[in-house]
Amino acid sequence: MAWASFKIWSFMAVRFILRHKRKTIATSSFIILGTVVLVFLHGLTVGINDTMVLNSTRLHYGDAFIQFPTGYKNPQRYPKLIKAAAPVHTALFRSRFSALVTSAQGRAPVVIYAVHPDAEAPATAIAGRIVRGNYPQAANREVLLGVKTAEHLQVAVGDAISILVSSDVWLEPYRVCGIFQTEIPHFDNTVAYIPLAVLDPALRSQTQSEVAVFVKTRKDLEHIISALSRVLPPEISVQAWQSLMPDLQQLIEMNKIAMQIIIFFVFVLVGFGISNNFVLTIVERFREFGILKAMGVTPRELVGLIFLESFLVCLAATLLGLVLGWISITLFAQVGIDFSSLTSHNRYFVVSGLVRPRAVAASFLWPGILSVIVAVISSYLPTRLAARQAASETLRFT
Amino acid sequence: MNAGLITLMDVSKRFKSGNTEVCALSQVSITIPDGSFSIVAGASGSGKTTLLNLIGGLERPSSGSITVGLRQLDQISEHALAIFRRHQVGYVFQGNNLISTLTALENVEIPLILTQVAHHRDLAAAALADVGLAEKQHCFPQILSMGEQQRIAIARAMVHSPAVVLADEPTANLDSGTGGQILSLLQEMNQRQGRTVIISTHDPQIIGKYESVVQLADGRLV
Repeated sequence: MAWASFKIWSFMAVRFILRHKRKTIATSSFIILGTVVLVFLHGLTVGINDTMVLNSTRLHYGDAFIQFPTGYKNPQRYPKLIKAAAPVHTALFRSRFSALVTSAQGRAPVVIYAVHPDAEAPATAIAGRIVRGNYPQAANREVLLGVKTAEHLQVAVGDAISILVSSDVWLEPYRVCGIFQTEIPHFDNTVAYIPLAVLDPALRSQTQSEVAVFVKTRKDLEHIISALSRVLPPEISVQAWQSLMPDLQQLIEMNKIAMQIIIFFVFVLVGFGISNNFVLTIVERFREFGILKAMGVTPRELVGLIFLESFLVCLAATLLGLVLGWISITLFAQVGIDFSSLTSHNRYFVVSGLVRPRAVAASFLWPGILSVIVAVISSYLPTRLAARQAASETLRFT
Repeated sequence: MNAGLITLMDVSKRFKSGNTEVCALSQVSITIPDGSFSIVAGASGSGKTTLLNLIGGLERPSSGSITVGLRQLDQISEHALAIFRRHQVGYVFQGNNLISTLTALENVEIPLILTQVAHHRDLAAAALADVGLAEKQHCFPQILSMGEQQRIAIARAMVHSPAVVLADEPTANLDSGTGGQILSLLQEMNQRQGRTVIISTHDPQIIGKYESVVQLADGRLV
């Protein structure tokens, strides 16, 4: 009996939806537009966050970071083990030490990273930020300096500098092969790169080793870190980018909240539009409802009919909005949205200002649920009004 | 069961209009036999529409009792009243009768769909053929003449075999020729199907033709 009734009212609802074409299109347009905007805004937020994470991790630290204590025995063997244990794109081994670099014109304290240039240059973004010269060659005694350090030392590409590791350890002179500029003061002022192959063997025991891990897919990061923890000795921990860059993590959370507030206001505005449309549509149909009541449609059935109509319109419009939202995200993800002119001095967009919106499940889930809820709630008041009025009164509407 | 037997006992209906109360019907007592063709006559504002609405269960009396068949309409719930209208009453309103977004056939189908009658499309088409509009079943009301719209309304009022058919000034917006056709159609339906038909009108020419006339003036029986 209930199924038979549902079939009847669904049949009636669909018939009325199709026959009130203009009203259906007007209401649907609001819902479709609202859903597309909500989906796209969500996708854009995800895309902006992705870009910031990509920029920050690709510059130097990687998605995960492993640090060994000074003098740790044979840490070079771990990149191979790491790559075998988890779906990792690259694992970069580095030796780090603090030193004072000096030129004829000045001196500056720096943190020197001894790296494998052939692996390091394509994996990180530093090579792409070289403004003069080149990345160090593996077999040469060359150094890549930050732009501020170079300015401070008043050196150019081709000049020689000396490196003082401690009060009595001077390294053989290095030639400046390149100068990079990241716009990040910490890097431009205090970081330098040299080839690991030419690092004096005597110094290796005094350096701190680290491995920067670049994963294939960032969404698997938690599992990868667990897998890496299993191949590493217990005293060595793996840090995800979130704990290495808590400022970035906070910024992402803040970005999410800010976008949620924007989405809420868009949602409220769209909700008003949908609500207004429903009120007008339902009030315009009062006489029609009066005729139905006169023919024996009960107030409850009338409420059910209008709700069913609203629900079906919302459902169809929301689904269409979700599909169009997905299409818009896919299109913009392919071409990207270039924010370079707004982000050139922003440390979180140092590699690229190109944002590619990305849809995740939540991009569709919340806009979808909210659109249907707001539309059904919007139809409540006029529906109640139509159902409560006596049939004879409703029939007076022309 | 005397399904079409209608009895009104001391029925009054008062409406609030701002701060004042308007008495649309006062102490009306009538009995309308089953299967009869009755006229409710009176000038504009005499209470004809209110009387029809009360008999059809569209409104409730302020006092008095209304019985249609075995149902005492003033005692039943809103839901039961709607179900009563669905099964027992057919309405023909004064103009602008049909749902404009539905075709003639779809308008006539509604009572059958509501009463869950099988083959509703075929029955609705047959009802339209009965009123001479088989050709117009897929037309929307707005492109049809007023006379044709009233014939569709009659088909819709009769299609689900209600006990009572109420027609509120069905000829009001029609020329005398078309009005005459509509009345003949209602009378034919009354004779052929044995339904109780009650028509309200203020047209003296129509009133003069019938014997069973309830005359109202200022909400009272004359």
